[in-house]
Amino acid sequence: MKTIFKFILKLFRIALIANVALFVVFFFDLDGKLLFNVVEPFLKKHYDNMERKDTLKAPYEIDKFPKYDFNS
Amino acid sequence: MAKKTFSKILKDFWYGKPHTAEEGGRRLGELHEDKTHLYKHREWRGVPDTMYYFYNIWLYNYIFMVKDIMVMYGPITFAKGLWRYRWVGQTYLPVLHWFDRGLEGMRGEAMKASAWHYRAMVATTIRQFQRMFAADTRLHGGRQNDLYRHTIAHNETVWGGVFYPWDGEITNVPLEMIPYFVTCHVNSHTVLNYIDAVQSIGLPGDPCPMCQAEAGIFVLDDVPDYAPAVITCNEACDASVSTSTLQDWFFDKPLFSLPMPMLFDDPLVRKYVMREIEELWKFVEQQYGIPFSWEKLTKKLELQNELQRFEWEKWEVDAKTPYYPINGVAQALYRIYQSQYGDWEMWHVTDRKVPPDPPPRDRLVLRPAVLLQLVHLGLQLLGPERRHQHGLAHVRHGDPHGFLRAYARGHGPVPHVGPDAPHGRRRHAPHVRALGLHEALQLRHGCHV
Repeated sequence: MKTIFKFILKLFRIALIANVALFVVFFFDLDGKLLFNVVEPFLKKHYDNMERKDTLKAPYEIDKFPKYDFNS
Repeated sequence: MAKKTFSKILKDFWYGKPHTAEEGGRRLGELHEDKTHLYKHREWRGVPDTMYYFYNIWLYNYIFMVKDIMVMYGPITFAKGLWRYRWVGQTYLPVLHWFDRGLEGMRGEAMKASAWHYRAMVATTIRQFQRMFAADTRLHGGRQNDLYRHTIAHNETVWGGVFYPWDGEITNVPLEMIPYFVTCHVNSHTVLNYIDAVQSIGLPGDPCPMCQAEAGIFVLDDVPDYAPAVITCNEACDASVSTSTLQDWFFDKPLFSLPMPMLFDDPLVRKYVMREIEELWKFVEQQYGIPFSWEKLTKKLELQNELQRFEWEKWEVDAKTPYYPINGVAQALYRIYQSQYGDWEMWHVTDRKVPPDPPPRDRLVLRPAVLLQLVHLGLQLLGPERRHQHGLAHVRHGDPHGFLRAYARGHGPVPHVGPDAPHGRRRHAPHVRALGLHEALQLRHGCHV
């Protein structure tokens, strides 16, 4: 009985600490600060350095596909 | 004096600071840091609303975003898309800040109802970009997988409902909605890259920036290649037509252009639109080799009717109350999402949470009104006039949903679109009217609409 009580108390403590920690993250917008200061600059650097296809070199073949006219 | 100050502090702590001119307002701008506009700290809305925001909005949405990604094609698909496309990393990771901006200063039922609409939009966004990535040839070594062969791309101004006849077989994903359109709302810095790109190839700066960004995303090769065919539309402006030309060039796929005259009540226009929709259906049949299903169309239209009834209730409240209960994004952008993507379960789940008569299991959102519902019940016995009066009284007492419920009780059935629908006494859905779909059904299948 005592063991179960201790276990429940431990769970309660963990839940309480997790709640307080998450509330601190929420209230002081630590998630936003992390994304803005760390994640976004890192990703932007990656996107800016990505090799991209030069789409302007693709020919515009307007007759490649048939004219879709189903009324005629 | 000190007692009065202490009492005021205690009241502000529990209920949040009131937004009154006499007290200088809540000065929400002071919550933000200079230049970056990051929050110094999130808004204190009083104990009940802050706790609701913390658990039911912030934490709930983080958890369910992860769940959505796990359920819809998995985290590896998401990681691949995140690494490949700028608009994912720059826009959708900080999505909770979209909630913060939209719900800033809101309290009570309005905050809760608006947040549920945001939640539906987030889930739908994840559903759409995950489908794009799962079908994307760029993320699968150029291979056209089975999902690719069963996905159709369309302009955001083509109503997703025109693909109902292929429900469960072909999935429609609007082309611009997720990569570009919503990014403007969530993080407006993302689109600047795309506007720069299209202007760098000579497009002047004066057309609408929306259309510029829609084309610029193709110039930067940042659009997933997720479907074998595409449907374009002239709506909502002339610049969209130019965008379609650029999309035709860069997408390089069989393309069906669906011209929509911006006239609604001319019978000849309706007939013309009806024919255009029928042509579209034939195009889809030809491209995908899957036959049109009348049963699927009618089944989905019944569901669409249900969404339409919810929407009417929102419009009625909007038209007849000075203070609309949900914010603009929760009303307008939610509706745009709904119309572009078409019917899916999430809309029903969300709309049932903010209804005139919610089923018992969905009453959590409207819990503060339970006591007032008992009063409603008593007033119902007194007749419709009293019911309306009571609804208006509710608005004055800061419970706009009470008006919604009371108003709905005083009104009869709304019209349906479908083969067994009775003739309604109220207007038809604008989208259905604009597309001429109910004429198409009536003339083609002889049903009453």
